Amino acid sequence: MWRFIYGLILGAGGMAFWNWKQAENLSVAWYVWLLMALALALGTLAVHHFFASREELEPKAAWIGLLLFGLPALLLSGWVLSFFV
Amino acid sequence: MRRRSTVGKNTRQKAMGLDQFGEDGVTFSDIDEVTSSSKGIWKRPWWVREVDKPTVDIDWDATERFDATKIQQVSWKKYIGEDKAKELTKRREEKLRQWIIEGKAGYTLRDRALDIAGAQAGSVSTTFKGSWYKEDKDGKEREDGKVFAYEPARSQLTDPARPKPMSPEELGVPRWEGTPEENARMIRSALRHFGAHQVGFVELTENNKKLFYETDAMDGKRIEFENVEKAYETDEKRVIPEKARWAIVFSVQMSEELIKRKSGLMPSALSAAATGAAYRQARNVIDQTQCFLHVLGYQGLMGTWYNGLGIAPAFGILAGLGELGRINRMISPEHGPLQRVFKLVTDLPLTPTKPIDAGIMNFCRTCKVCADECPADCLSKKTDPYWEPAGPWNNPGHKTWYEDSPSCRTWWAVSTAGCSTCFAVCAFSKKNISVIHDIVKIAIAKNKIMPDKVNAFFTKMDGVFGYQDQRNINDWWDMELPPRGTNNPKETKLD
Repeated sequence: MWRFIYGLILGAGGMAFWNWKQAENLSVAWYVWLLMALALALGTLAVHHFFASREELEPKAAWIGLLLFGLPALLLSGWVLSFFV
Repeated sequence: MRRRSTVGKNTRQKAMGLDQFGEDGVTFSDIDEVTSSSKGIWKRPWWVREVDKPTVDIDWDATERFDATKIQQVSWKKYIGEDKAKELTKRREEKLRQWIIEGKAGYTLRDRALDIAGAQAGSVSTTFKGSWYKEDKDGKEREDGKVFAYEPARSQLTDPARPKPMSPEELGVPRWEGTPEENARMIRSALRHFGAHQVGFVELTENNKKLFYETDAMDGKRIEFENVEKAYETDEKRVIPEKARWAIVFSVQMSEELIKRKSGLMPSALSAAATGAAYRQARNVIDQTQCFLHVLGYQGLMGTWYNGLGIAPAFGILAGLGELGRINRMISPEHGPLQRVFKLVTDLPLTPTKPIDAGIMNFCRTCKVCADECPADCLSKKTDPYWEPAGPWNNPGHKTWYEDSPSCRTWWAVSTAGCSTCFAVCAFSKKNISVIHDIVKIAIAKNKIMPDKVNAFFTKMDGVFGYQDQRNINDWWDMELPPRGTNNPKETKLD
């Protein structure tokens, strides 16, 4: 179920970003795309690992994974955001 | 009013025959085409590579047929002294009763009942030819010629509603004939159905025949190979025909949730229940496989206990089920050490599976968590494996981390339960649902950049993530787990 919800959020977020970018006529540098991809990969890993670890009955691994993969994903996302504001 | 079937006549005819199989539209015209399909190949993860030699170094000249009566399960008393063993056993019984009365977590009556019943109830002991097999004094199979028994005369396992385990000869039909590839696929599928998790095959040679015990651990009978048609048994020996040139090797996975429920340093009856349940299942798998082979017209031969006939981890490694680890047992890429390995010998030709290299033995060089956590301090902490056995309980001839088995067995007596701490804390003991485990295992198998340092980092992180932590004992009784507690989605597959 979490995969479905995560997919929905990702799809909706991606579409909103694309529409906004087109409306504002923004050009995005290649390295910003790269940073976005990296942040997305890390964020996806953090979310996947969190739910998968809970399925594995490993709550400690779930929270530590969320911290170790999720925090860099958030920092990268913040950096990416700084290119647009 | 009679309802018409919504399934057309042609569809029904096809369903009854063998026209179409699978979703990919592959068409088969008969059962031979089904079994010879390339889809029967065992597909491992891409990062597990087949190798010509196992990752453990073997000196076949130094390898000997091993006297199985030297193993600690049989000779523990001899190694530690009769009086000490008697005293430990007496104390074990006293503590066992006392802790039940005290309701000590992990040792209560229900924990004991689970351990004892899980290993015993509903199972049969393994036998040389199969529990249901009967023959007269001349070695001729005894049967009344009827396919269905009206009473369970031949075996307690025979169900009057089902065909008896008759050989093709008794039944008056030709025996099964297939290519080694077809047979291997068939045996894999049958054993998975019976309850095995991983299945591989070893073609016997003069070298690897040394891995069969010289004597049976239970009754001391010699195990010999002779140029005869059928296996036979006397008061002194059990004889395997030379034509039985293949070993079927399989594993049965153990419950991670059970095995990680120790009581501090000590294994509990609850953690021991994981092992007992695997042995119970394997006994049935062995007996069913022997029966399966008999009905096909072949022989399936085993020792008189589930660890009998030969050295199980050695066959598991030669068959490519896994690699040898620091615990001097087999560790597989899919189930880690959380499995027990078993073997049978057969005259059904089988395509052998090859040994594997997934970087496991190399990882064990730097990990050492099992050795550090071993409460009996019986596992080696040396980085590199070595040739010298630790004592007469070890069979020489392979380069490994030889363990102090009598100390291990003594700890069983002290704790009153079979210890499996090394299995429980192993970095490969995982449920493998999170993709992070795959990423780590791929790195262990493939990384060439400072592999020792990277592997040591993985070991460190394994602890940080809490994977080596033990579970709360009593929580287990409130969990809804899959049957036998094994639900590892990273199963091996027929592709």
